[in-house]
Amino acid sequence: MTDNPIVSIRHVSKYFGKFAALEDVSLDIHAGEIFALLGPSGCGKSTLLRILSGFETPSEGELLLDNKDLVPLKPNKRPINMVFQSYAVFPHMTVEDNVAYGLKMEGVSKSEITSRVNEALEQVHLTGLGQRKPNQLSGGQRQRVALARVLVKKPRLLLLDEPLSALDAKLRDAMRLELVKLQESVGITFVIVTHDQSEAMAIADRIAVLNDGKLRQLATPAELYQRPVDAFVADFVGKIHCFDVASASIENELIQVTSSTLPPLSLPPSVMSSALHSLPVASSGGVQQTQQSIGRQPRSQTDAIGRLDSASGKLVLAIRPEHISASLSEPASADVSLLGSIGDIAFQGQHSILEIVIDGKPSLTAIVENAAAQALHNAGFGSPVWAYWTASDMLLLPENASNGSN
Amino acid sequence: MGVSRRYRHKPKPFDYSRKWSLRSVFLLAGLFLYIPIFVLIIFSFNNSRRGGNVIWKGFTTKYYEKAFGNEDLMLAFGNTLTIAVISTFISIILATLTAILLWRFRFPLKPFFEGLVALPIVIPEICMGVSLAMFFSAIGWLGNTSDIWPLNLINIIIAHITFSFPFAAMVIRTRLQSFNREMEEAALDLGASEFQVFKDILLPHLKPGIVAGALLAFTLSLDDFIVTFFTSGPNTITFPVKIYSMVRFSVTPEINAASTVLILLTLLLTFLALRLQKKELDDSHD
Repeated sequence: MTDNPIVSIRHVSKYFGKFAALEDVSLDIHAGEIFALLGPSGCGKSTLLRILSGFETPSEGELLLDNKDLVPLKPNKRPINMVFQSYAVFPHMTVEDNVAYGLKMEGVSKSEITSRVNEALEQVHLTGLGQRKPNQLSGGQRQRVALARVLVKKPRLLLLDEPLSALDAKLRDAMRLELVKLQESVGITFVIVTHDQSEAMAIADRIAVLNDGKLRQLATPAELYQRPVDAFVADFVGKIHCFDVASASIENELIQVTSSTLPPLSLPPSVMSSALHSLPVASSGGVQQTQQSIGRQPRSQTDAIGRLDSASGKLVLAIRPEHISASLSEPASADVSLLGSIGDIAFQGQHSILEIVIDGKPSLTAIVENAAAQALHNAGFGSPVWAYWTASDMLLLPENASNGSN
Repeated sequence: MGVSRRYRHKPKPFDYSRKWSLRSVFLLAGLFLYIPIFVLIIFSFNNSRRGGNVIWKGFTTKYYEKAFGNEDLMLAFGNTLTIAVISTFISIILATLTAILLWRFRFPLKPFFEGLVALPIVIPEICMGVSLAMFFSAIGWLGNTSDIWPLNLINIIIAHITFSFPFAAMVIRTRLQSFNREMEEAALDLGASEFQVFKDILLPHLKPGIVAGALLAFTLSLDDFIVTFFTSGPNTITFPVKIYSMVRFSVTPEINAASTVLILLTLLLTFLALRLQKKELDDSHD
């Protein structure tokens, strides 16, 4: 984070009428990284991409490329190129003409165009298909044409809008790896927009999670998974189980949590979301207290003892399936153990996924070794099973950190 | 075997072509549409003095010679083609610009203007003819524009543009609906200017629509009678108007022959346009 950012987005907002597509988003993109904008549909990630490409102008805020203002530049004057979701390959031109189009617009000499087009086609493994028309290509090949068309321009920034969503599953996995390799070889900074968390995790160096036009968290994939800032991010980047928190307080540097479904717990401070560190700790006030009331009575962070306030809505305790173990007998020493019955067991190859039914509904999933799964399977559907885990593997998260970011 | 036989005897709900009732309706409709045209063509070769004569008197091509030898008829034919070519050319430019304007931009009273463009399609031709005749007479162009060909046709050309360009605009507008806006953005993103996007991306996409629109405008102009009748001067006769005046005296196989030539011409043009369009559509197929 110390090197100079190639792109700086500062307090950018975008309004369509009264609707806020983006609200006060600030982030830096570093040279040479693969940066992912991740979020559910309608979260504003595509709007941000269109602002970068120049097809939308921010309503507020600054946009810098190499420390120069980017906003006044028209899309055709920006050293930024985009691979569109529909690929938008020109159907009436051959592959070669498609790839050469951007260079022709630049006024590059004919001989240079030929050599650069050939180089780009080689990079995307389309050598020999230059004379084909797009309707003679498969979907994957058309995407490669779209890629070659922008790579050939050697842009400062390459934008990819849902690049893998139109491909079938097998091709998608292959293309993921290829995109990463391609980025490494050309060294161009990539910005990828996706709604698929596994895609973002697999490809990106850093991920910005957006929801409702706000930046929720900006972190590396591992950080995002292990230290999500709130329950939304935790749930969006992978399966997680959440338990309601009735009350939470800090005593002797341990967090005391009570819940309607779990026994009272003492948790190490490390389980706390970073969003909660920056939050005021209220000396009184219940879980239902609203955000507005906090706004009216701000408290200093030094007030370390007392109840953890529900500043950003409710708090939840969360645990990921891979931290949950299952046993047919009651575990001797476990921080948390819950009794349920065996539900479906899904074989996944190297491991199995066990569904644990509590109070008549499938409540937890645990990832178990195949040998253990076999034992559970032999015990039979509906047999009692204990789900247990270590308290320090849990996460204490606000349900919704309204604008938490690193 | 049994299954296939039962299938052959009882057509399924969607086997329309295998129901004798529907087949006969199809046949009758076809006959109704094409018998008059076939009769016209056949009797252009009839060796009889009267074109309306339904008695076959032997094969001859002399009426074709006569038609081609008829200077007035040939002049009218030339006028018609000239009017059709020029009015189609101008119509298609106007229609393309109008279609793009209505598709691309948002402006106040847009639905009103959209309706205005489509209006000439539904306005009775007789009303258009009368209004245009009044307009030309008001500005003093009716009948005495110029003696120089083809300037003397300018009334008719303007009149033909007014009724044929809305049709062409409709066809081009329809083609625009299938344009992927990302294509335009992709070209801009690659460094093209707005005009280059239009020339390199939008126009090639529109080509089938423009060809179809041009064909429509051309045939509309070619056989227009009413509007032409009201706007032409005494010395500017077009083919349909000339035929009409010939029919008033007597129907001779010469008229049949001239009409047959016109039919062949339009068929040929349609065939060429369809070929061109098919090729374009194949290319742009996503």
